[in-house]
Amino acid sequence: MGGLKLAQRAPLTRIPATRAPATSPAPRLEQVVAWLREINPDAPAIEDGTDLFESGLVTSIQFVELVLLVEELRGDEIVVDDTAIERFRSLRAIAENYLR
Amino acid sequence: MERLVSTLNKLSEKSKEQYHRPYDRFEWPETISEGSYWFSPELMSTYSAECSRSISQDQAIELSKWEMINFLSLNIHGIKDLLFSVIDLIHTDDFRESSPYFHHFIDEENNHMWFFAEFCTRYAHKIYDSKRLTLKSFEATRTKNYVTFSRILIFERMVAYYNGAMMKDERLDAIIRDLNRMHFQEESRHLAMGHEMIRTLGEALLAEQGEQDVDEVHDYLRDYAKLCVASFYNPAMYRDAGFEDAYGVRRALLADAARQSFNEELVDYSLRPFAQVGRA
Repeated sequence: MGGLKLAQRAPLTRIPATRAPATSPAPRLEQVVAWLREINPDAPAIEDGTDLFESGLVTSIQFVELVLLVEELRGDEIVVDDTAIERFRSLRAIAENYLR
Repeated sequence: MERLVSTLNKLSEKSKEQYHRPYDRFEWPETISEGSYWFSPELMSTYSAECSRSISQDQAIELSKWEMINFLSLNIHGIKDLLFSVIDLIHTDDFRESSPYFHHFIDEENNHMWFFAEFCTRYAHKIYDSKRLTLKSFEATRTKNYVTFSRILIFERMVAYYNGAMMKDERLDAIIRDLNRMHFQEESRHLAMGHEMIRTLGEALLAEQGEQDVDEVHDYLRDYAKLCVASFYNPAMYRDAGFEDAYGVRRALLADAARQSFNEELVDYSLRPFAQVGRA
């Protein structure tokens, strides 16, 4: 391993994605809806104002995936602090806070 | 309860005997070679994945640096969570007899958090953020307490799996091996507490709530363990290592058959003590 220098870094690697990237023509919020449908196939209609946490559509376990999806769609990192729960509470909140 | 208290008293004695200040315990090198692995290659999130075959050794080595920073960042955030939980329970009626050991536990975990953060800020000038949010999950006090110590045990078993391998890996810098060794040794006491807590609290929960409720808790814990494993695939570290599509890399790796097999093994390993709850 000796002699390898990161200063002479090899070209950037692309590993193929398994899902449509953020540049897909589908509106970005629809990709959030599609993900919610994927993890909740039996859920009734998800309205813009539906409380994603109270309704059980997003658990604390799934929250990280939701954040990473929205990060990817907006193309920027999101800091998860005490206010995050309100900013992710509904599709409307996500759209207003992150996907304008 | 008697057995738990006896175990915790013994652990308190060991903590006193092996007490040390972390602040002058380590010899921090000026730099760590960027030309060698910072994280055991076999433990990296890309190891044996079909989709990662195109990664050069240079790229793997650079990624190993960020995998180490991510691993330590996960530890830092995990420790913060468990400290909040244990501080909330110390000197409450249910944990009166456990509290003397909790003081050692809190002290040692704070030390671990310090040396992990010291490494990250010295050599990478960053600690990755946590994306986690704790939502209300269980109402009953007995269930909540069981979940608290279960989460701690799951997290600690997973981390110990990595520490145990990396403290012996001669390819890694001495400071990396040393941090892993120090953590592994002290965590052996915390794991002993965790196993005894789970046995005691689990039996009480089973007696009070019945098997169905305990199964529901165990389903939640399996999801929690999966969340912990998924945290090892942090897009930020792929980005820092120079990968073009960090989120795509994460998705591809999580969908890879070899990685899924490893992830399942790690989840099963972390959950092994729970299969014994109520069967002792």
